[in-house]
Amino acid sequence: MTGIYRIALYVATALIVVIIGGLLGWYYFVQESIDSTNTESAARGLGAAPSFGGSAGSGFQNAASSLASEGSVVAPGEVRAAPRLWRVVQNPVAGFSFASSSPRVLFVEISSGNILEADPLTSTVMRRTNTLLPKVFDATFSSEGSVALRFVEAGVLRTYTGSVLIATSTAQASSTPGRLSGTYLTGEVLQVAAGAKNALLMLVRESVGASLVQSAWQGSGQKKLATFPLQEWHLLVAENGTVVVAQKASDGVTGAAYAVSQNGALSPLVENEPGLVVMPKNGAVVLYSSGNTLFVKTSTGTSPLPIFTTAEKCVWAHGTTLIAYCAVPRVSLGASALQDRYQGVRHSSDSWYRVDIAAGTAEEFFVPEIGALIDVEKPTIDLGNRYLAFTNAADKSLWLLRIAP
Amino acid sequence: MLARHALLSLSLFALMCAPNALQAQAGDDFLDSYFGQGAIATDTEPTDTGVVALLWEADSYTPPGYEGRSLPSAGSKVSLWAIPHLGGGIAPEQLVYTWKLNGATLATQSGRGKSSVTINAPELFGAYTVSVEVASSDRAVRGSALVRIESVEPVARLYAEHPLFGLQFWNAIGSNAFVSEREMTFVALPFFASITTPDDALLRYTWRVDRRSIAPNPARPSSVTVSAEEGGAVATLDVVISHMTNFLMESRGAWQITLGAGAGAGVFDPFRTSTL
Repeated sequence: MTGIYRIALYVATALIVVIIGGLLGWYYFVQESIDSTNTESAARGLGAAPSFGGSAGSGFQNAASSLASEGSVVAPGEVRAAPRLWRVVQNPVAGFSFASSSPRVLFVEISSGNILEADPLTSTVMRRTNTLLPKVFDATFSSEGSVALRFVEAGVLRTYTGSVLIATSTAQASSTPGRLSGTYLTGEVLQVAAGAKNALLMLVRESVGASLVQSAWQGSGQKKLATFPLQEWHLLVAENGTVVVAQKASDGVTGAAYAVSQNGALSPLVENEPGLVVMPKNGAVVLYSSGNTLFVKTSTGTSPLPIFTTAEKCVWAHGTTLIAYCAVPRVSLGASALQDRYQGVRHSSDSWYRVDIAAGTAEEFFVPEIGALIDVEKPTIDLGNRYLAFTNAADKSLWLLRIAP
Repeated sequence: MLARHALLSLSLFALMCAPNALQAQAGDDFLDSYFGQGAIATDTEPTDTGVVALLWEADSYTPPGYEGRSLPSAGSKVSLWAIPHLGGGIAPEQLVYTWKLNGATLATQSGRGKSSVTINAPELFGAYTVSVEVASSDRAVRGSALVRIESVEPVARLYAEHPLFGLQFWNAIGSNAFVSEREMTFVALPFFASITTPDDALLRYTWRVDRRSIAPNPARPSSVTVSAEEGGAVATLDVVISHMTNFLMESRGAWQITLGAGAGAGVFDPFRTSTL
């Protein structure tokens, strides 16, 4: 018995020694691998403070860092008032709008669908949302900070409407990005515009033609305002809330534009004009272009204006005085200018004019530096009539121009 | 190719010989009142009490978000809408619309309240006139309008497909282009073709790179990916887009593209211009 016990003891001791030896060997093997991995990770920068990034995100910072030498660009992190002409971002932008009570601009990146905010008073750019909706081709903001994003997903045109928080103080502006909360709209939405009182206006494709629908921004409470046997319209909303539908333009092809009443009745603004593009001030006053000749139509008649541009390059100043700001191509692009521009074939290089409708005069007030090719599109003006925001149609970059020197 | 030319010749011959061909319209009132494609001409008969606006559009292909008008091409449809301003307080749906194509009445599409019509677009390089007369049933109020519509040949435009930004539809690739990347996917869009999507199963893309045919991507035949060796290279890219059933449709384009042209060339990419 003693012999058996002694043998068992030896075996158990040997097993324990073998197990402990194995564990020690495994520990040293694993530890060596961990050390090696840690060394490699440290060499790759893991654990160290990132060398890039910031409130606007690394993509924005990365692009801006390579452009800091140019006069119209402010280096990331630099806090000073923006130059008179400020390239806010070179990354392509899907849409933008001035915040309601300040010259700050909200804009949407095409690549991510994220909403960012730029302040020309401090030259800062903050990322407001981090909800990923890639490859957004169009973004529309409401006056109350809601947004409609349009993109193509698996070959299907989709529209997402959501609400974002507009920062009202510096403390909020420096907070971390939030989520975009919203919903996908049903139906094929061809056009979107921001109506009065945070209403959403949509042009929805029908089996024949299209319908003009008004709803809450999230798509609820839909009301059909009008139906059209045609589908190719632009939706515009004048400063006083007048809804305007205008046929899409093409060089030499006649077009028409109508004000739409709440009961769906159409009142003609302009009809039978080749290459028609309109920019309404209200239901009675409208800037329009036929080709590159600009006209103003008021209740007293129609007059040509002394500059050559298309009405989509103009924006009405807020208020009752009839003042417009227009970007004017420095060189005429010829008979196919509209189509070439829409297809991205050719772009203009524009100067800025202040147009006094009552006096019938146009005064050049800003000329970009020689070599700066800025083809102005979607010009917008802040409520104080101090800043113009626009994108460059040639690369979709976002720009801000202070009107006063 | 021979079949296409034969069809083109036949179409042109038919246009010349047709009773309602363009030549037959020469000297007609429409030429006197014609101001441009789509111009409206108000009939000058003294019984006119108002004017009619005649709006039209085609259903040909343009990409989502395209700001311009779709133009008619062979095989597409044209929709027209008459908006009368005749006075008399009569609702538009109570008026009688008489539509004519090259002077021939479209009987089935005319009648009370029929303010819109949809018809086939003119054949390749062709044109027609559409007129409408709008009148009350007692003809106390009436007006008319006329429009001339021309077909265009679809246009092939080439765009870069960026992994982050998607299709860069704002910047068509020019005939001589420089691209900073050494590899890039390009997409050809047949503007104004009688299709609904550029990857329509009825479209045939014949891609060639440096004059060598390459097999199209079966999942997305409108696109092609071109890459260059280290240091960059010049590639000649050409495409012929044809339709399997609409033999009159053909669109082609050719581009010389320098790939790997360095930062700042061509397509902007924040992740390549970085100094980090």
